[in-house]
Formats: sequence, structure tokens, C-alpha cells
Amino acid sequence: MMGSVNERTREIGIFRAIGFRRGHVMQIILLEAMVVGLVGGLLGYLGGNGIAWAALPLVVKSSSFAGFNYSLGGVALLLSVALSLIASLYPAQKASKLDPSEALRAL
Amino acid sequence: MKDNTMHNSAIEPNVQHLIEIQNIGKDYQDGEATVQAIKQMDFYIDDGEFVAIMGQSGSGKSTMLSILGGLNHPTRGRILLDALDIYKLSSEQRADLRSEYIGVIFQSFQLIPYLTVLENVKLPMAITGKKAREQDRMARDVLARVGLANKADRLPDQLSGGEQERVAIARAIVNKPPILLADEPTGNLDSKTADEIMELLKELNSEGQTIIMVTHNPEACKHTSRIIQVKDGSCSVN
Repeated sequence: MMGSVNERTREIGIFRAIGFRRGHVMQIILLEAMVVGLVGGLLGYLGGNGIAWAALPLVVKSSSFAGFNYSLGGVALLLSVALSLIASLYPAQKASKLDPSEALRAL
Repeated sequence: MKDNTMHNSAIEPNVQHLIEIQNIGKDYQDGEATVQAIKQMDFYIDDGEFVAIMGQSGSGKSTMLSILGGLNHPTRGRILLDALDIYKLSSEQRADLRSEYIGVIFQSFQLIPYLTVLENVKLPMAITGKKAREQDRMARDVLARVGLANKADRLPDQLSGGEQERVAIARAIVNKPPILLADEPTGNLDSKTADEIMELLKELNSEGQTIIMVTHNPEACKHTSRIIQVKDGSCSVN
């Protein structure tokens, strides 16, 4: 998220210049982090289960796939979103504090 | 020291101007040295005017525009907008002020490349609490006003420079701000397109829009009602 914030300095400058509050910029970054966390968590959960299913016959003989553990999946998703949000707090804070005129260079 | 660069509102306290620029100065720190981007500027803007701020690059005119836009804290002096000292406000209040009172047309358009023309124009309304349908209608109205009704779904890089400028103008006026600031609106355009853009700005002005334009191009000034000359961080008012 830090890299994303740095890349988008100019964009954040535009947002601020057309009247977005610091809080609005924070919201944008954190919302994006939430979506990334949600999608990442979901992909991770599905991917992990897929690998487990594919790798099982290679490790154990004559055993069947244990099936999805949904509560574990829920926890994984929550953790992933929470981590993503926590990791984005500092970049979001930094983004919202950018000086709009500096972010845009000359105006 | 007597200052004779100014003849302004400060001497006529009974007249209320839309914007009063009082003793504005801006210094930048360049290593050890202090650079004065703006030494001292004093002027006023009245409601409904089309004013050009003219000067060479490096004269301080763009700095002045960003100060007028509430984007750049001056080192000295104050800006009164409807008698409100805008740099006494908190930065969040100043953001609200920009949203409601000030539309900006940036030098290089500054459109968001991954948003369509319509979405770019809607952007300033995203924080106003207007209903989605109302936002859509207002954005389409203003796109029609600048002559781009049929290009609403294009991306900015699928448009010509003149068209991108029109999108930037549409985005700047969509919230109907009383003040429109333009930084070198003809700077990146060929002379024919530049004329068309100036025509459009003039039309908006004749509909009552106050416009303050920064330029180094004397051609662009022939449409304006008043020219403020800026040189070496000071200004003189014609």
C-alpha cells in the first residue's frame, strides 16, 4: 500500500485540490486495502484448499480430501482484512497529510 | 518604506470585493537561502470578472494562483473570500471551501487516467452527498455544456488535448463554484484550439462565472476584462 500511495501522490493531490478532506483520502486508501485483503484472503483460502486436495494423495495413501473448513475460512478472511488494514494505516495517514500544492507540483 | 505598487481595496473599506488579496508574500527555503517567490501582492477580484494574471515563468503567478485556490499557505498577508480569511480556517475547512467555492483547471489537465470522462467529471461531487442520479444528470449537463456529450464514456487518453481541456473545465464547474481558477489553460494547445477554449471561458464568464486565469500568453488576455501584471514577485494592476 505504501508503494501505491507513493505512485499516486499526484492523484491524491488532485483529490485534495478538488475538495476532498483528509478523511476522504484516508477512506479511499483504507477501502482499497480492505478489498485487497478480502480478495487476497479468499484466494489464499481457496488456493490452500486446492493445494491440500491435490497434494494429499502424494503424502498419504488411500485417504480422501477433508473438505472445506468454513469457520477456519472465516477466520482467515478476517485476519487477512485486518492485517491489510493495519498495514495500510501508516500509508493512508501519510497520503492524507500530503500538501496538495506540493503533490501537484505547480498547482 | 513607502509602497507604491498597490492601489487596492484596503483603501476603500466600504466596498466589498469577492476576493481581496492583502499584502501576500511567499518565501521558499532553498537550502540555506530564502527565496521570495512572491515579494508582495495586493489586488482584488470582483464578482463576475474575468481577470488575467500575466507574467513570465518564475514571476510568482502560479504560486499566486495556488494561494488563491487555498492550496498553498502564504508566508505573509491574507486572502479574504467574501470577507472570510481563508488561511485562518483549518485544513479540512479549507478542503470544504475548495469543494464549494473554487473550481480549478490545472495546467496539464490532471484527469484521472483510469476513469472515464463522465467519472472524472463526477469526481468533485463524490463528496457532496448528492444522489447518484442527480450526480449523473449534472455531469452529463455540464459535459453537454462544453460540447462533449457524446464522449462521456471515453477514457481521457482517447481524447485530443482540446477535448481533455474541456473535460478539465467541466470537472471544475460541475459543482457550480463561484470562482474558477485556470492555470495556463491554453498552454498545451495549438492556437486554433486555444481560441476555442478561450471562447468557451468567455461564454462561461458572460453567464456570470468569475474567472481568474494565469497565463504568459498575451493572446489569451484579449478576452479578459482586466490584466494583473506580475513581475519578480510583485504585481501592478491595469
